[in-house]
Amino acid sequence: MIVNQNNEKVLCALIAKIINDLNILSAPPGGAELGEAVQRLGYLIQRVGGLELGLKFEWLSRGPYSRELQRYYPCVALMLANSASDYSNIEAKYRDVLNKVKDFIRRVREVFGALTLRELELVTSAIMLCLEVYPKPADPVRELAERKRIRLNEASEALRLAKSLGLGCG
Amino acid sequence: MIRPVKRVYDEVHGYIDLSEVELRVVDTPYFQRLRFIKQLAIAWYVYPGATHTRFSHSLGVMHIMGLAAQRLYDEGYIHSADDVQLLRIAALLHDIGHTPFSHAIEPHFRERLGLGHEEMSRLIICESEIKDVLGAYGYDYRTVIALLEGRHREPVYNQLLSSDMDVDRMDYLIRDALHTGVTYGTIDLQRIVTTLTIDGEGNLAVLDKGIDALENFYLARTHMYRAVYYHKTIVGYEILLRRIYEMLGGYVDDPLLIHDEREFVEAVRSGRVAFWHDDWLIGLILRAVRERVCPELRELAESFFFRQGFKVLVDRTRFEDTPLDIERDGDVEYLKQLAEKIREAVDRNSVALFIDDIKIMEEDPHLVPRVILEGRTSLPVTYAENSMIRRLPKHLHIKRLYVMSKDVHKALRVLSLGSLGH
Repeated sequence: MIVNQNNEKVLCALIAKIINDLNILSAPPGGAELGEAVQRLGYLIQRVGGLELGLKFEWLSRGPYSRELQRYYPCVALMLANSASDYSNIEAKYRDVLNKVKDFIRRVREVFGALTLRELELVTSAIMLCLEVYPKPADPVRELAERKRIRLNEASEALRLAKSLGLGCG
Repeated sequence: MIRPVKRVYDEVHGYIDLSEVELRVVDTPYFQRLRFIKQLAIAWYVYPGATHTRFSHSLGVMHIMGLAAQRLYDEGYIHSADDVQLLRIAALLHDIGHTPFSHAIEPHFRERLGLGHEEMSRLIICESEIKDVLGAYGYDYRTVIALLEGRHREPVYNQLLSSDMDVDRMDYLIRDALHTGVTYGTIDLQRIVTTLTIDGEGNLAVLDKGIDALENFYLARTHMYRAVYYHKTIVGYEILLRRIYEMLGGYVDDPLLIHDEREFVEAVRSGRVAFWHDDWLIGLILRAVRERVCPELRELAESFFFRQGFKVLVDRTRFEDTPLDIERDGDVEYLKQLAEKIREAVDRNSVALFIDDIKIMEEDPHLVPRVILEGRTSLPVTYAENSMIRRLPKHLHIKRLYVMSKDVHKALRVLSLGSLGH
């Protein structure tokens, strides 16, 4: 499914809904934390949800990053701040996308015992390391562990989750 | 250090060394094409000296990348001399896919064909002898493409090529300032390069003693955006050239008038793309004029060649700290209404609106250049209390209404009637 620029409100609503439903942010949304949430969820919606948004992601020290997603920060913040935000029109049309992403995020929570932006950074980094980063690291577990300064078993779990998506991670 | 086999004298950097693989790349027709694409498209309408090319700029970016990468290698942050060469190659090829007249025509390709110069660069590298040249020297073309797309395994390499403080910007600011004569666009390149480092989290950063040079860098960019890159006359001629280009396809047949990705790939594979440059487009426009294919096209072309193009009628451009909300901005609404009013008095195609929001600096802490104040802890330079960068404007809102020269008097009459209350 392809979303064009006229459907910016759709992406804002999808991201805001996931943040709300899964209680991803620990505090009222704002600043860097909101931006980070938008980046993680934008990546998951495209990669895991299968919604082709045409977003290009770079590989930076904190994982996948899309400059185009920056313009969504204000509208997501607005939707989250408005308790009367209506998600009914996206719930039906994008149910499949929402379910895929939310199911994946729930599994992340089960595996790590927590769901914060840190866990989302780990899994999105693991997915991008698998699928898009080049040259491919000879030892992706060690690579992820060193980059994120985490234990090897945490890196291993993140990569296992990435592989479970069946997107082509080796 | 690379082993040079040739030296080229550059007006900005002095002697630029080329290694064997770099020379082989430069000698391909695909790279030679860049000699015929001006860096600043049609800025020479305002700054007659602005005739420098993508060719010299690409060499310059490679040279600066060599300086930066060598420094990081000497400091132990880059572990392989091969990576220094790889980074130089990527820098050399970063603009290989630029369209004729660079940013004047590229929006057409981006919007109508979904192809930006980054995608075209990838296609040229993949589908041409450049791939074979790289392979012959042991360089994987997919690694070069990953670098150009910001997907290389090493995040710092991606930042060197594309970030607020990347080697591309460093070269074009100095080069464009030199050729336009806009002296407040120059930067202290040596200082920036010698204070480059990596912070504790693996991000590109600048030591605190480089903060003045970084401030100067941002100030230079700010000045160049207004004085050159979005100069009112230059933008007007870019709009005109784009209109001419979009009309040409309806009246002239040429294998380099590309309509989709398939045709572009074919042009690359056949080698024809080597002729896809500024002179080709000028030749095509002249052909259309000589063959009298369409009076309207002829009129636009003559306006272009004889400097009778778009003139600014109203300019509400200003620096701001927040993004431009096009839907709610009062100036934008006023300009749209005025444009409609003027279109009642003149030919509709004589009127053009240019609305854009230029981001002067990144605000997201993930992207803002970092400065190391003590030890290895870094912070985004916009958070540094001893820096003026945090006080600089973040955005340049451009809001202009243009009218063709021949219709300026009629448009002024509409403006003087002043019925829109602004």
